[in-house]
Amino acid sequence: MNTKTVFSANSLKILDNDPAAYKLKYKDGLFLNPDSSSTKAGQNLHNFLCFYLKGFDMAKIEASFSKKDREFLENIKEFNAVKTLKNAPEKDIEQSFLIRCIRKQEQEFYLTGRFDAVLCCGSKDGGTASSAVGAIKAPKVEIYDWKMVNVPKKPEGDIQSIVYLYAASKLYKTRNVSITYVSLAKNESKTVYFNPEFNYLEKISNIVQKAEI
Amino acid sequence: MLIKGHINSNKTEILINSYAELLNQGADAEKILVIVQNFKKKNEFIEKTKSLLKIDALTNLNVHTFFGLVYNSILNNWVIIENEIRNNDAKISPHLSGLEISQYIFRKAIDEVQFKGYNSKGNLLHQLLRRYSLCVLNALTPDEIKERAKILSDPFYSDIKNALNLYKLKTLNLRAFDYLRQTDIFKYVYQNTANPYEYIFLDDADEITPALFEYLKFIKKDIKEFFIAYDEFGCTRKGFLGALEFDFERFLGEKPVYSSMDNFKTKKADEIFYSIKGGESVLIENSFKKSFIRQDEMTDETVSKINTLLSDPLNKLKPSDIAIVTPNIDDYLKIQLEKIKAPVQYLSGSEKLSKNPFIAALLEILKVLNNKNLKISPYVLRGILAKILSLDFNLVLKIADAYEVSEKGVFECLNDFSDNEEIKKFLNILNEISALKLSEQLYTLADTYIELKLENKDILYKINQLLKQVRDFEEIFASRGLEKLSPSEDADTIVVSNRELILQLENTIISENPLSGANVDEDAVIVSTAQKLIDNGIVSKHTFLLDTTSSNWTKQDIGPLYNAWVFQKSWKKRTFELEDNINCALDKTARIIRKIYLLNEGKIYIYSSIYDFLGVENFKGINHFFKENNGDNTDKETLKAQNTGKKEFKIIPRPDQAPVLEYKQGKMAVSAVAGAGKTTIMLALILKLLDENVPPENIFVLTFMESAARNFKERIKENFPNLVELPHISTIHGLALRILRENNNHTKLNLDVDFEILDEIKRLQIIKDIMSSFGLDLSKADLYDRAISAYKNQKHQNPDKLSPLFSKIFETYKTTLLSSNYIDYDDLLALSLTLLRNDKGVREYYQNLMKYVIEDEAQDSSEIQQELIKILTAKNENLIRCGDVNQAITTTFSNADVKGFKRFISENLNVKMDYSNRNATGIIDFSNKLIKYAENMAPDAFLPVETKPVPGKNIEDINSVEKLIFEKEKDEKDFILNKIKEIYAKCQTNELLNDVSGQTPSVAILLRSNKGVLDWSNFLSENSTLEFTTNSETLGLNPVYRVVLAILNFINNPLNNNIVRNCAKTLIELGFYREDIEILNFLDTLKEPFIVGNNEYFGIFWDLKYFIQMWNLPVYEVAYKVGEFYFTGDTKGHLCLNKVNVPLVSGIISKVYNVNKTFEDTVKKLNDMAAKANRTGIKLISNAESTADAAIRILTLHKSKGDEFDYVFIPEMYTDNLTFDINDIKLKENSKFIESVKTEPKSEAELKKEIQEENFRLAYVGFTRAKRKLYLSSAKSYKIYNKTRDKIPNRIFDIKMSSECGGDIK
Repeated sequence: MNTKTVFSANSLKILDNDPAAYKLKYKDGLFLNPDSSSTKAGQNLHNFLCFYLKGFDMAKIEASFSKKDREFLENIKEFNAVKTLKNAPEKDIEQSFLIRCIRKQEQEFYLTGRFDAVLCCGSKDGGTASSAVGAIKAPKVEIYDWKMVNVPKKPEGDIQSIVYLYAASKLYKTRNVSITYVSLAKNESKTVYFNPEFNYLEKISNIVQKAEI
Repeated sequence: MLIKGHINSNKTEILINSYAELLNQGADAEKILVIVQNFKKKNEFIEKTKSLLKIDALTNLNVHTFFGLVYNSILNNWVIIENEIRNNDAKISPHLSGLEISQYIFRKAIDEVQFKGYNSKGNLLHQLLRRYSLCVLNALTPDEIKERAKILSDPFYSDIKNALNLYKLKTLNLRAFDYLRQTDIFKYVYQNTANPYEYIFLDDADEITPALFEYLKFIKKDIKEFFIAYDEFGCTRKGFLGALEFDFERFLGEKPVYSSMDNFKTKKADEIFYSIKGGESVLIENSFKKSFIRQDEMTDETVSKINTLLSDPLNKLKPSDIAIVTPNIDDYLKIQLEKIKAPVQYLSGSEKLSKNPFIAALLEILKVLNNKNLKISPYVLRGILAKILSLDFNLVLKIADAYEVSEKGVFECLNDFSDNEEIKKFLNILNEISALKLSEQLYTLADTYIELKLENKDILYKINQLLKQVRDFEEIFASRGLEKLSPSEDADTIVVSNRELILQLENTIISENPLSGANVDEDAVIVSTAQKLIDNGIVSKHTFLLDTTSSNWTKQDIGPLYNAWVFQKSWKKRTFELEDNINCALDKTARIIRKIYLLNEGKIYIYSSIYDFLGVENFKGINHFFKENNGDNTDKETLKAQNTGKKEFKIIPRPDQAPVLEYKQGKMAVSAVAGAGKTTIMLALILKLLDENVPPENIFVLTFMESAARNFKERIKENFPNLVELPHISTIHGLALRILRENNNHTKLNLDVDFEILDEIKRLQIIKDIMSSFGLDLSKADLYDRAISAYKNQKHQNPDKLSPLFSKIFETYKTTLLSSNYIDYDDLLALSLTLLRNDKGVREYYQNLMKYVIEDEAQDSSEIQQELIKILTAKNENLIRCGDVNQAITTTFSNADVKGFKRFISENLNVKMDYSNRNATGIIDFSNKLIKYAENMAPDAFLPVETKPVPGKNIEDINSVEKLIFEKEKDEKDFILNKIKEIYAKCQTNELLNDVSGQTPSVAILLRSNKGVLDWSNFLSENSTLEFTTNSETLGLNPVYRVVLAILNFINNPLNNNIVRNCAKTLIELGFYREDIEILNFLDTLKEPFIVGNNEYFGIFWDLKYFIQMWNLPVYEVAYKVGEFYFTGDTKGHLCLNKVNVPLVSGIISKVYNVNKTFEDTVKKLNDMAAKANRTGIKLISNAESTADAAIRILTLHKSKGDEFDYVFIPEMYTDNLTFDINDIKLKENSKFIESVKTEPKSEAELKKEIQEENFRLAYVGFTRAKRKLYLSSAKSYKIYNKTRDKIPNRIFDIKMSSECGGDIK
């Protein structure tokens, strides 16, 4: 069967930096699973925010945290981004995507990934979102990405920004897209806007091309 | 939309098209749920969908396996579950972990519940997990479970409930859930959250579980449209994973559309289904059925056929067009299939991770790292140094040798070699990681020593599995909340230590996960179990069904605590009878074979063998469902080829034999003197019954020895080459085992499906362990072993009579067996008798089946055996018992009940066969004289009978017995050796040939004991070049065992030239490396260790080096490879038997290894065993069983029964060796002790009388083996234990033959 390769922001990053490492891990499947316990706290925070923003009753879980952890979380809940999302009527939390890309008219590949949170600012005369995501009319889409400590230094050139902005523009069928990285430890954030001048697909395709070498 | 289609139709494509169409029309992918059977099908579904998509962006495709759906639902809705858990130790996400964690938790739960009286505690965990699994997958309600407990009259119902509740509580408290526990919780999730789906696509709906169906029923009201594809007669997973037939037409209220199917094929598939379901056989076009005697012949033929198919370019075949389907995928099969000239991919099987030598070595490092005092085996150290550190060959041996002789620990010893950079680095790493968590230790070692390259893919996969498991453990039991915290003091938090974890890792088995579907390699021949073939939908042009007579094809999922049939959601009956079991199994088999048929697009080869690779007879299986296809030319030729080898068996019975062949029905005794042709006439009777079209499965033949059973089968097979189902021919123990295993009857005795028959090695080990726990002298272990047997074999046991010590040992022995799920040989008969007495269904099943029962050697039949036969034949009463009471030679050490047979003779028609054409007239005369002689000394020794020669048939020679007394032992030995040489010399000058019908004469030396056999074998091999074989079961005489042991001894001690010399000597003696003969002298003078020198000149050097570099391979695998290496070229004649013995020897070694654990201890034990008779329960096939061999045979008198030879020598006939005078018999203390445990012990006088009588009969058996000449001899002195002792020749020398008296021979 002719399989169509699927790339994530992460795998593209590896491919861009070191095609040999990409081949080992993603093509040959040769890797040792690293210890995820160091990122455990990060995952837990992501989970917490996901459930919190979806509106689950978090009282019991919060009660089980240490005082320090509770204070930390209370602080996060007051972040602007978090507050806005919490109160927003239209949002997608942990929204995954699958985007079909065609390179040079022939070679098909897919992009996949998951937005931590998406704020859809609907408007009556905006375009219709594809695949009925959120089933809303959304000319303006804000993507949020939670970072444990640091936000990227140069988010504009970051592959994650490129992939996510391109994917969101396709998924929500709008060019009014931004991605905001939020540092949960520092309450810092940086936002990158979709640049109509920039050829996202070409940039991505150029990296994808490296997989063939 | 309901789509009806079968496994090889386009039903999935229809689903995919509809799915893609829906997406292309703009439907929200998040609102469409697709459920497929496994990962492989999931990937295929997604890929095919992608190729049809016309839109650029969508949310991810929701294509899941059922368990994937469950997993995601729990993760996404975790908070609502967490909020329901009473324990406040909340977690932000659950641990969705593997089965190992659950098993660990389950074990802790079981510890808290009593299960008083439960039979096999060792397997309790498995039982409970299976039961839990069936309850969950079948979505059984508490009431439904209770109802089933009633049907199965479940004595442990409340214990099970308690254990399960405890288990569930613990998993909740720890938030640790495996896929079953997740499925259990899933119900709560979907019932308490909004359903997000509008469309459901379901493929292979016939294979889904009720748990999934319940979900679909629940959400049905919210669904706009269902798309369901199913196979009407699919559902092959019923009775295992809980799948069952659902009425989808009713569920959706619509009629199905049909996928495109080949009509002829579909019709045929339905015919197959209905035939097999009804227990009938069916003819499949393009099928080729072949049966073989041995398993290796079957696999050889498979390999050769596949190689032929692939090599012919006209066939245009890819390797993946060929599939081999068998339930028996094991290491042996894998080694045999290495000969296929194409890659082979295995789709199945559980695999113990630590079996991989590399991983085993890694785990050993971790063991020492976490237990500095641990002394690992030098063999393992070599594995570590060579496989992990990749050190130079010579250095590996040097370090391991230094380690072995020193008292130092591993690291201390390695420190002495730390000038080597690799070792220095290794020690540094160990030092750095010694205080870390186990997962970190394992990760660092793996990261350092496993190169990321394709050859290591398998190892990396396994290491990742291990890492995941360790991390799961560490995380679940030692952390909580947002931060990693120290272990809680909560009682339910179980803290596991590194050492405990390593143990867990060592036992990790990658099990056959119902979810997994492998990536199928296009360039490989697929080897799969039936279920995996079906699950993966593997279509092939040539399908080889192997081992079709193996009962593993129809293995049922039933245990003492569960029953996969009754635990089906749809079970409506209030009872579960044997008949239900049989019908359910037929139904399932019908479904499986139907699907296998549908997956085939060309030819099906149905291959079976009478014996499995360990020489155990196959029975049942699926072979009988396939009719012989005679319409094909190829097949006809095969048959013709088989028929040319056919030995026509024609017998013209003598008048005394004739009544046997006139047998129609009823009970009949056949009492035959030695040489009367009893075996021949019995064979004739069996063939007559088969000729009269009695179905083979209705004929039961019971023999005393397994070799006799094998012999019968082979001879029947020669006469009916196309007969695949032979009559049941086995020992009584074989029959008893069949009764316990067949139809899962064992569960009625609360025996687990994996119950094992305790072999003698393990049994002795258990007894030794018990004795040493009581601080007793282990030298008496053998004695206790026999005493336990004697006690158990009584009709009435009286525990009050036992000494407190014996009683204690016996009780502990009993408990040990119970808790380890073992039964011993004595239990085997007793348990099947209990079953037949108590269970009407089982009793009637066998009574109906057993139309004719023929028992051989009936004089050796024990009381319990006769009782069994009586019950089994109670309906048809067609019983033929053959034997010779004068040849009863097992009464003193077995439980033979000669009186029982005597009674049978007197009560029924008795065919007396007292003519013998075997022996020369002088020998007949002398044997008759022996019977007369015994009349005075031991009147009950014989039934008075006078053997008569057959006029014109026997050799007329009144001087055919020679009695010789020598001064010294050596004279006797030399005489016999010279005599044999003389016989062969004469034979070569043709003097003898005419006398003995043109064939080389056969010669036998008969001895009293196995030790005698060994002594005489050594004498002959040291003093002559005569080729001989032994029928002794002494392991050290078997060529394969000898070769393997020689190599293992070398591997165990490679630097010792003496051992290399012994090894070389053995190999040269057995015909290998004859060109290297000078090596023996070379080694005598060599100073340096041979194997580390530059000795490439010798061929043996290369091979030894090759063997030693199988670093850290389990010893039984080394043995197999060594055996294959030396014996694989043997294809015919008695040498071929060596090849057959390779897996058997490996099997024996595997057993020894399981008890002894290390390479070194195993090799030591194997050396001890070499001089003794094989008591492992695995019978090696000895050359002597092949009648075609004309070699000198050395065997015990006992073993000679049933055989005949032209020349027979019976040396060492001195009084102590075979005592006739009751006054000379000295009872051993041991015999007295054994009597003391019996309820009705025999007096000393009775015991002596028994021994005396049996000695007479033993002599009689020995004499009557000789056809042409009998030499009886003794010397006046023998060297015993290095001391020369005077011996008195036996009284046999007093018996005067007619020729000596000048009288006539009648």
